[in-house]
Parts: sequence; C-alpha cells; structure tokens
Amino acid sequence: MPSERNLMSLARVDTFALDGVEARRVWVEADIRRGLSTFAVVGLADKAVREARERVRAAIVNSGFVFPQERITVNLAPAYLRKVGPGFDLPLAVAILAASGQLAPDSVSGCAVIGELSLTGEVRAVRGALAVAEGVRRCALGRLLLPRTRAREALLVPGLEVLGVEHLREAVEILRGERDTAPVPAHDPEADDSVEEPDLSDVRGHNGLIPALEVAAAGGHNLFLHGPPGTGKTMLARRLPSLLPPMTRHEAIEVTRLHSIVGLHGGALVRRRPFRSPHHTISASGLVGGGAIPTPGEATLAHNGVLFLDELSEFARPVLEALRQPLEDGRVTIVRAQRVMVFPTRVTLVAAANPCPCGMGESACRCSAADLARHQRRLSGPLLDRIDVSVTVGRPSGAALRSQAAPPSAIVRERIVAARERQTARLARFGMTCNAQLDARLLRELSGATPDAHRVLYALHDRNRLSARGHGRILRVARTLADLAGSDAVRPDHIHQAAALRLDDQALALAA
Amino acid sequence: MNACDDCLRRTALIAALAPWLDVEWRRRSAPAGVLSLPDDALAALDRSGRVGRAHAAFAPAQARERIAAAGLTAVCRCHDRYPAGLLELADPPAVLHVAGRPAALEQADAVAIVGARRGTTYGIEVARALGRGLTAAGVPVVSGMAMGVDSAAHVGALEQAPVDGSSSGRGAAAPIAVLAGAADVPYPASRRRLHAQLVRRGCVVSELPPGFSAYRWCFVARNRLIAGLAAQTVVVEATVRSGSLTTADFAAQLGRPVGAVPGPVTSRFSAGTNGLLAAGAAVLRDSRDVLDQLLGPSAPPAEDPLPAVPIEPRLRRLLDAIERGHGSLAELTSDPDATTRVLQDLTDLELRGLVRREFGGRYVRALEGRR
Repeated sequence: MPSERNLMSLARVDTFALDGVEARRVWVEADIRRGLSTFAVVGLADKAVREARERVRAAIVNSGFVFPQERITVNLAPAYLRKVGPGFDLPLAVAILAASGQLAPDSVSGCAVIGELSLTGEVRAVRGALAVAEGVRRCALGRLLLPRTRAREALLVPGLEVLGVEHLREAVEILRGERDTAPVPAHDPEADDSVEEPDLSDVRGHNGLIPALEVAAAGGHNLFLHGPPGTGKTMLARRLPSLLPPMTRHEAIEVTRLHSIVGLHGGALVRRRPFRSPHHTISASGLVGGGAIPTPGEATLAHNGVLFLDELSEFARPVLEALRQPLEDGRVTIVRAQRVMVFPTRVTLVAAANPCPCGMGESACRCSAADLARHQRRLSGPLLDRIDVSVTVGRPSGAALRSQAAPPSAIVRERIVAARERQTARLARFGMTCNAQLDARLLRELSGATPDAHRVLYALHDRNRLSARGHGRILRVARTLADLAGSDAVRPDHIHQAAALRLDDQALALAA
Repeated sequence: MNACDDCLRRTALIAALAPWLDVEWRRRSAPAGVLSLPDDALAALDRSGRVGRAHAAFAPAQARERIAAAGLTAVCRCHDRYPAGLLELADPPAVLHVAGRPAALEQADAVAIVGARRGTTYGIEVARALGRGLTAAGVPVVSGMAMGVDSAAHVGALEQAPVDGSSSGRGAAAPIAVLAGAADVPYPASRRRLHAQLVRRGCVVSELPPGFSAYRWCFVARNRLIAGLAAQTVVVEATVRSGSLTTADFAAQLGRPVGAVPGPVTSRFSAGTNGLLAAGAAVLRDSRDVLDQLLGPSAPPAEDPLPAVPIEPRLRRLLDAIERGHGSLAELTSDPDATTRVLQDLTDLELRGLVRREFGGRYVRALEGRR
C-alpha cells in the first residue's frame, strides 16, 4: 500500500464553474506529498471554495475514509477563472480520495463531478445543473456525478450518463463500480409540474381591454397600462404570459438554465413563460444584471416571458435607461475589465402607471400642478418609445363586474398562435419571430400596407404631429392586427384600430 | 424702438430692489403702492444705500448692450409705440422687454386667457379651443405661459397663428406671453419649447431686465400686465385661491370686461370661475361668445376649422359615452369581439376632430369639430 501511495500522489477531477450564464470547465488537481500536514487550495478560489477545506476534511472522515495527514495542495485550473460557490466540495473530496489511493484514478476520468458537501458527507444541491450538464456534453465527457435532487434537471440534456448521488460514500462506491447508478428519479424530467398559471377567465369587467392584450401578445409588442390604482392593471399584466404562444423546447431549456443558475428553480423543465415583476426600488444591476461577479438581473429572468414594471414613474431614471438597450437588442452585455458577458433578455415589457401621484382620479385628485408635472416628466422617461400599445384601465362599474367575464386564455391563445405563425413565416429569414422586432427599414418593406392605409396614416400624422417613431409604431401594430385577422394586406381599418391603441408621447407634453 | 435713460434706470432700480419688494408689497397690500413710488422713495427702501449709489451711477449704455446681447427689444413708456393699454395702469412698467416680434404688441385688441396651473382635462381643452378660435379670428391671445390653462391657451393660439410670424396671411393673430421673470428666460423651464415657438411666431414680454429670475411679487405684477395688455380677460378654470383671479381683479380695476367659463359646481377647480360668474362676470362658452362680447353681437363668425358633418348613429352613441366621461376602452365596449369595431370608430372620431386621445389612451371630447 505505501509503495502504491508514493507512485500515485496526484489526481485530477473534472468539474464546472458557473461564469455568468454559462458553465466553464475546471480541473481540480490534488497533489499529496510527504511533509507537515497542510491543506492549501490555489487557483482564484473565492471564500466559499477556500472554506471547502473544512467541509471536505470532515466529510471524508465522517464517511469512513481516511483524510491524508500530509501536505495536500489542490489547484483549480484554469487559474484566471474566478471560482465561486460551494459546488467544488464534491470534486475536491473525490480528487483527494483519488490522490490518496482510496479510489482508482482512472475511475474518475471522463466524469464531471459537482456538488456541495455537508460535514456528514451528504451531497447537497447546487445551482445551475442544466448549464453544467450542457457543459459536460460540450466537452464530450459523457458522465456527470451530481446531487440526486438535480439529476432530473441534468437529464434534460440527452446522451449523458447522469449519476445522482446523496452521499459521498455512495459517490465513491459508484465510481469504484461497486454499486449501480442509483435509479434515475421516477419523475420524468420533461413532465410539467409547475403551479397553475393565472388564467384570463379570472378577469372581470375588462372585456374591452382583452383585444389590447391580444395584440400585444400576438405581435410581441410592449404594453403600457395607464390607470388609477386598484383597477386591475397588475391582474391583467399577470395574465399576459398565459396568452403568449407556448415556449418551444429550446426556449424552455433557456429559461430553465437561467432560473436554475440563480437558484429560482431546480428540477423539471420550466414550461410556463416567466413573469417577473421587480419592485420600483430595484437598482440598475438588479434589473439588467451586473455586480462584481456578474449575475443575471430580473430582465434576464424574464427572458422569453413578461417583465412587468408597475409604477413606472417611480423607477429611478438610470435604471430605466439601463433597460433601453437590452429591450432593443434582446440581450444584456456586461463589460468587465477582463471580459464581456452576454445575458439573454428577450422579453415583452408591460409597464403600468397611475395618472397622477396620488392616484385618486381627476375629480378627487389632490396633487399640485408641480407634483403632476414631475410625475409626467418622469413618465415621459426613456422607455416610452419602446412601447407600441397603450390602453387606459378604468375602474369597472358594478354592472360590468357582474356581467363581464373574459374568455379563457386557451381560446384567445389559439388566435395568437395563428397570428404568430403568420409572422414567423414572414420574418424567419431575417432571424425574427414577431412584428415587434421589425425595424424601420424592414417595416417599410414588409408592412403590406395598401395605399389607402398609408393615406389614413398620413392623415393621422398631420392631425397629431406624430413623430417618425410614432408613425412606425402604429404601422407595426397594424401589421399585427392584420395578422390576427388573417390578412396579408394592412388595410385602412387596421391602421384605424392600431391608432386607437397607440402610445402618444406628444399627448403627454400637452397634458401638463 | 428704444428706451430712454430714465426708464432704463428705473427698471434697473426695481430689479436691484426685487428682494426687498416681497416684504414691502405685503406691507402696502397693493402693487400700485410700491411700483408707483418715485425713484428716490424706492431707493430709500435699501437702508444701506448701496442700491441708491448704484442707481446714481447707472450706465444706460451698458443696459442697452445687455438688452441687445439677450436678443431683446426694449420699449419705454415715453415711446409712442408703448402699448397704450398699459398706460392706464396706476404703475405702468418703465420699460417693456420684448423677445420675438415687437409688432405683435401693435395688433388689434387682445384677449387674455388665464386660469389654473393645475387644470382639469376640461379646462385644458376649453383654453386650447379658445386660443385657437380667437387667434383664427384675428384676436391676439395674451397669457402667462404657466403650466395648465395658460400653456394650453398658447398652444391653441400657436395652432392657428401664422407660421412665419407675419400677422397678415390669413388674418390670424400672433400670440403674446407675459413672463414674471425676464423675457429671455423660459419660465417654467419645462415650457422651453413653447417659449421658443412664442418668440418665433409672436412675442414674449417682461418688465424686468434680461437674465432676471422672478420673485414672488413678480407673478402678481405680471398679472397686471396681462390685464393691461388685453381688452378683455377670460378666466377658464380657477380655484378660489387662484392667482388668475388677481388678473381678473386688475382687469376690473381698469374697467375692462371680465368673463369666465362656467364649470361644474362640484369641481373645486371651477369654484373660482363660478364665483366670478355669480359676481356678474360674462358667461363665456366658446370663442364666439368672447368675440360677441369684444366686438359686439354683430361680430363676424369665427371661421370653422372643420365643416359640420352629420355622424352615424353608431359614432353618435360612442361620442355620447365619451362626453359623459366614459372614455376608456373598457367603458366603451364590453364585447371583446366588437372591440376592433370600436377601435376603428374611435380613430374615425379623432380624425374628424370630435375626440382627442389623451396620454395613456383615454378619449375626451375635443372642441375643435362641430357636430
């Protein structure tokens, strides 16, 4: 035994570190040699990783293995990559066991290991299992040893041998081949186990507004809801995800990966489109992502879903300013001294605002002229020109509450899916999916507006002194209305309808 | 045009004393009490004598340079092109500083439109329609460029005023704004664009020198100029404590007609105007009422921007609902399948000038088109 120890005092285990929204391959190298009993971890490890020494020592001993009383050096390579979090515990333990001869070194080759250890040797869940599994497949490693609770998520990546473990001892036994892989969790990872989604049919007294939601959902248009508090703006916004077409598998995987990385979710595939509604006190980096170690923000968590900004005028201007470019590009780019990170943020924005700071409505309003002007100035902020559809949400009358119930989401969604298919057919060759993404040039080319429709548009233009942007917004929404009606041409009535849904920032300037 | 040395000196004196005047004003409880004092009495308000010495050493050439550098024209009360209406005041300003076209001050009898800074949709809409109607009829509109009703009156006037500023053209009038601070400084600052338009197509005037920023008393002092420049004063919406009521008081003191636009008795924003009406002010419903009062009942009818069009019963019903204040989409329709039709009709009404789409998407009755 001792002679063997002297020969094999070095071992290497593959693992992955989360870097933004991606997993990067990291090698854990353990070297054991004679000397004073020390345990050093090198390779740009953060505090959680350096603390891993204590957890690993206890876990090894408490699992019935021997912790070598010699000079142990662990290196995490590549050295330039910052390693964060407790996911290195398990690979560290495995590397030490392999270097000290308690595990055959070739048993760990071709197998990525990730997991946090408790002092008893229990393996605890880590974030970002899906991203790690994708990384494993990208590096052609074939096997992934990870906490059992995250095995389902890793199984979403096909062609991977997923070894879910609950204890360090179990992990070693599996690697030694003494024990079969624990049965894959009975649950199908593709199964849909998310909670019931709020449905449009819960909405009462707002039937006239359903078409506005429908247009926004069909064309991917950003939506503005204007009205006093307590009238149902949040309720309507909350139901927009249920109107959007179901996510494709690719989109669902993207969302699952992002949510798993920030620890919002772990397990099965996310099937519901996300709905995120950050409070207005949020910081710019909270909204679009950032920080010393860049992490995704709320906008990225709403990727492929709905980002709802209630009380738009209360958000700090720089925060909204930061959201402008991501809304345009569908992604956030964060530049740090060393490198650039990209987070996806393809969202439908829903913004809501009260007509005045007190929100009491015209007759009861107690706001001063200055309050009102300040409110409107803040509203006319940087995001309005990204919004195509705007409606006023009023307080429904008692009769309306009693008699009007909205149709179920599923029925409205059918029309929306059909309209999206028309758009995709038209836009796929430009790499776009919906009308909201049309830029000015493509809009001119693809709008399909009849000469009569253009005439109506110019009449509106003259009357309301529309900006060039406002002009384009009406045409875009008219295109979606035509798609909903199954028409190839944008006719004058589509322009009429779109104009009655427009967001007119000129009107804001006049109101004060 | 130019201003004489004495008048320039007096203007500089008032500007230098501005910080003292807030106190002095309250003590005498009338602007005439202060602003009509002779130069010596005014200079004595500063006990330190610093203002007095500066007054004695005043250099008119420098003042003229500053006025020219700010792009202003000065006209003093000794000049024959000084607006005659102002001379009837107890304390006509020594010098009027004009940004824009001084000729705008020499137009026909003007009408002042003033009102609440915090106007309701109704007040804003009426002020705008009045501004539009009077300007189209060749009557210049005077107001104070404040938020709310004042700005709306200017905006309405600019919709009809000649683009190049020439008062010939279609016979439309050029708008006039009177500021509490200097004429070259937009106040409130948020009305920068409106200020630029007014300067280009009409004029902005003030009694205070370039660069001066207003003290409290300046706003009341400004109101006397609005009343003085106008042959008639119209108050659109005002609470009982509104500053626009002081403009009405000044007009009444000058013996010029005062009118008010009636509003709901339940609205506190109309309490001041309804009070004026109860006290005998003329009831003014639209620009035609104003013209009748100004020029006599035989006044030429204002030109209709839009000819009367009969509207379909469906649109009529929609318009009725909007007039009752049910202007949001959910109030106008309860059937999602019928909504596209309603959306279409709303734009139809808007294109006919019968309704206006507010920010956010509520529809209100516009006063532009006739039924």
